[in-house]
Amino acid sequence: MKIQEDARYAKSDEWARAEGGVATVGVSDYAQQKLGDVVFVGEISVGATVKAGEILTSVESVKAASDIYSPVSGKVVAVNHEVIAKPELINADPYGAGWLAKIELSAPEELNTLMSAPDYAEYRKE
Amino acid sequence: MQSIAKNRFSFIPATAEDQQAMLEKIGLDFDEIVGCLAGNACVEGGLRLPDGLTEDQILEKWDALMSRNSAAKKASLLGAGAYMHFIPAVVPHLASLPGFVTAYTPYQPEISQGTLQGLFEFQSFIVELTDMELANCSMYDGASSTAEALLMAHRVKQVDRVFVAASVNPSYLATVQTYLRPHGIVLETIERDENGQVSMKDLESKLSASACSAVLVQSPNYFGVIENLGAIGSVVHAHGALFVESFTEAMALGLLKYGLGTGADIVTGEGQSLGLPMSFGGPHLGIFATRKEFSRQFPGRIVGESIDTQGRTAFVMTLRAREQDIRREKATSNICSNHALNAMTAAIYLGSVGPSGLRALACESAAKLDKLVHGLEATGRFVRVFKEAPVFDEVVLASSISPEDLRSRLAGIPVFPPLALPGGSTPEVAGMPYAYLMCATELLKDSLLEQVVRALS
Amino acid sequence: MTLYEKSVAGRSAFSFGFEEDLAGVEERVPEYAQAPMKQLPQVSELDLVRHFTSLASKNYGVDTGFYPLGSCTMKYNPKINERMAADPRLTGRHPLDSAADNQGILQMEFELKESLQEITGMDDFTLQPACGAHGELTGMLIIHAYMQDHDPKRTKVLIPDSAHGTNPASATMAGFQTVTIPSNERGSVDMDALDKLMDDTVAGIMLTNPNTVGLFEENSTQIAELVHARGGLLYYDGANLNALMGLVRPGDLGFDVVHLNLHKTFSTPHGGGGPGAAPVGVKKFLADYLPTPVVVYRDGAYVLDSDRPHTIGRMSAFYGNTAVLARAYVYIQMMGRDGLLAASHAAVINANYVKALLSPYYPPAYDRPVMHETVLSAKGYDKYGVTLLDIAKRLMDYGFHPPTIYFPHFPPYAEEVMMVEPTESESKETMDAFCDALIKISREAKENPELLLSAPHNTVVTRVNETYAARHLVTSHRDKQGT
Repeated sequence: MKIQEDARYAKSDEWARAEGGVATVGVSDYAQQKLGDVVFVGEISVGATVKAGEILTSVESVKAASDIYSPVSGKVVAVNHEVIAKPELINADPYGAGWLAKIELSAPEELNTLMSAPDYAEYRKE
Repeated sequence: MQSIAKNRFSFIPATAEDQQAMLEKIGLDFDEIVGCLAGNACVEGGLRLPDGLTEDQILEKWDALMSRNSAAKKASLLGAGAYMHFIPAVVPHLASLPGFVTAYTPYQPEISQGTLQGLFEFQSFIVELTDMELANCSMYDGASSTAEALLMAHRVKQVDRVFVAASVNPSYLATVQTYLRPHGIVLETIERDENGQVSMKDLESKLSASACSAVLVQSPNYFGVIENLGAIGSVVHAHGALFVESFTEAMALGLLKYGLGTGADIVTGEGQSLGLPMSFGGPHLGIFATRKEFSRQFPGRIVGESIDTQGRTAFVMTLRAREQDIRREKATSNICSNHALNAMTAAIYLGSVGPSGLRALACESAAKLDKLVHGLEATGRFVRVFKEAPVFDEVVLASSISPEDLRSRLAGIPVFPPLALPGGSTPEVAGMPYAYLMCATELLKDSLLEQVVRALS
Repeated sequence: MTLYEKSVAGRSAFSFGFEEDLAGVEERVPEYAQAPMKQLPQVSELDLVRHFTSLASKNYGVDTGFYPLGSCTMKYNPKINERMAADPRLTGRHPLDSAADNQGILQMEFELKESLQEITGMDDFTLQPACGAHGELTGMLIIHAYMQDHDPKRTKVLIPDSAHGTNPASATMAGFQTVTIPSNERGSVDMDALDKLMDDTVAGIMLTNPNTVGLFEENSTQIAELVHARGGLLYYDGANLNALMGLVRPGDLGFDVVHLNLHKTFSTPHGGGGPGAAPVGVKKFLADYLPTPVVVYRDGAYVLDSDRPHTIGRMSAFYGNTAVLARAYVYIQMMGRDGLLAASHAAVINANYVKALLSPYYPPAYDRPVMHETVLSAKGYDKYGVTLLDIAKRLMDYGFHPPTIYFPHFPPYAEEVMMVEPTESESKETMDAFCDALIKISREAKENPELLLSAPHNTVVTRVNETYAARHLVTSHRDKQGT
């Protein structure tokens, strides 16, 4: 299981990486392995307001469908259209090309409530 | 608890000795195995059912039962949701092959390619006939499929109101109501105009007055009238709702325009006319087709083309994450088993009649109705209620002949008599107090048609 | 190759004598409804016959061999049933023709209803629902309508974690919120949890009995007492009735609504995914809620009764899948009282026999006798790098249909479980051969896992790529042309 050192993690296996008030979010390597081959990523609307812990979108593999929860609160300022067109990017590169959305943080302090990389590694230890 | 192991049931191979050997291997006797039933209202003294019959005995009993039905018919003036058409001999022959009949849902694609490819071909034909992008591999029947179409529209649009043309088949309307009621979705009707078609004025005014998830229109409608689907579709879309086109007579698909060309978001209806017998109401065939943008929203199963590990073409069920076994209470529908074998039958039928055969059958049915109407109008005892309306193979005729009289006049002729419509269903015609929904198909051969007209003169 | 790919312009399999001027019809169609000729394949009758005969030969069916698909009751489909279902005196009848002209069919349906009432201990039945899930929806709509009339705050339904996915999906479609009840360490409903959850917002509980693990709910009577005492109703999912015929009746256990799968327990063929039929039975106090019309016997004749003041309405356009009902009728008539009991008896012995043979290699989760099916685990095989899926695929090479796999998935089950239901139709020799194959595969997993990983080898196609199908969506000939 790969862990991205500079990201923070939610218990529901999403990650967020903040830079200048905007967080890039996606699902962890652990999550993509659990899902199996991802075949669909639901639409995410730019401009939408999301709250931490609320559904951001959903993803499907051939054997499962999972809701993806936003790890942070704020406004969606960018969406990775490439991952919607090529959902396999989530499997290939969950922390890079497989990112889902960029969210302008309305409550940056929420990041502190997420797990650090070592804590997450411990949390998902096999 | 009595132990039954008499070897006289031809469908149970185990002999008493077999069962004894198995129980020894298990290490328990039967009563011990089912010990958990104790204290749970066990049946005492056996079910009050008769002794079993042998094959010759049940044949005799069946024969006695079926002889209580009235004589066989060669054609039907009765339609209204079930239609009597010619079924080529090759259709039931192929649809009865045990490979199709005795298989389960194709969960294991490597040993289910027959079902999977056949259903893929069915989907292909439905996409073509309805002019849509995506067809599932069947629903139960036209009525439940239409109800599911409105539930899907509600999922997409989330507005708790749908408009339904008043000219939709009343059994379909009743089914739709049953499905929508627990969800608090309001169902309002759009009136028909004096021509028997959807009133564009009423449609405009109702859509302007309230938002809705969908508008449902049937064509040909319950009164046999062909609707101007394209015009309705434009109005529906202008108001941001989904447009659901429905049909009860699939033979019309061979001739008339549906789907993308008329602005449909869902095309749904009854496929019984495509090679399936009426069988006193079922099993029939629900058809459901939609646009690709709704590929995560539609109900039912669908087969996709794929490859095997050697790169060969192979078929497999796909878009499965919508379904109840994966998504449980969040599934797009609870539908599990559907009417797959009937979809297979329809695929065989369409392969048999081919493009020109299907169109010719549709035309022949319409032409027979036209001839029948002319013949009946010439008697002076029948007249079309919607005089200017375009029709396919059903029409509403007002008549001076009462239903009892009509039945007795047709008694010796091998046709199902037409449906007598309840008073007030259609506009009144002076001097003609009764109304009939009259159907004709290619089976109403000229000799039979003339007999009917003569009897009703 | 699909039929489209075999099409040659000008060929036809169709022979029919047309009498009318067809061009005249085309001209009369209003312009807005005119469509060009639809593009169907053009093949000769022999092309068609060979095409579909070849397809049918690529399927595995009950007539091919052992089909131990758990919860699906793939018993033998007697051929006499097919003869009745194809009788033109039935197939040729229009559903809106008068009842007086169809007394034979209506009598058959009425007698079927009476038999089902006796088998289940219920008071009345509708024959309208088309399939199991449709029956569930019908039954739950009845409970919903009843609660709307009597206690509308009851908006939740309890469903065990072991239930089929159709249960929560049907309850949701019927307007309920679903609440999951956990199973206890014996694989039955956790009575403490039920006690906590069963409050005055709960309309009832949906139970499959025996449950999907093949275990009879040993607390059935107590569950019924508790749920009724708190004002709820009990729904019986009849998917597994094949274990109980002549032994126990759901009606006697306190269930208020049941559905039966005639395509499981009552031998009608599954057709590669339907059509089936799922009559729904109710206790007397719910009989007014049944969908209409209902077949009844009145004044010396069989009639279709639509006078049910509280009816939920209609579930379909007509009265149900008559041709399927006819098959089940014939089956029940032939089996009779002793035959149905013998079927359940044999089904139970067979399941326990398979369990006894396979337990050393694929352990069951509970050390209890089962009813008509058994759930076995393939958990330890991951250390050889093989999964249950590989084992299932390898079974095909031995000529068997795999059991249901990866279901149910609730604790203490890991994901690697298979549900085996032999049914009463299978002989000891067949089950011995099936178990031998699974035991051999267990050995192969250790000695030559590659054999499993690359299985199946003897089928018309090798493993089919589901991911590819989902990512490159091609569901029709039009899609193929577009790619």
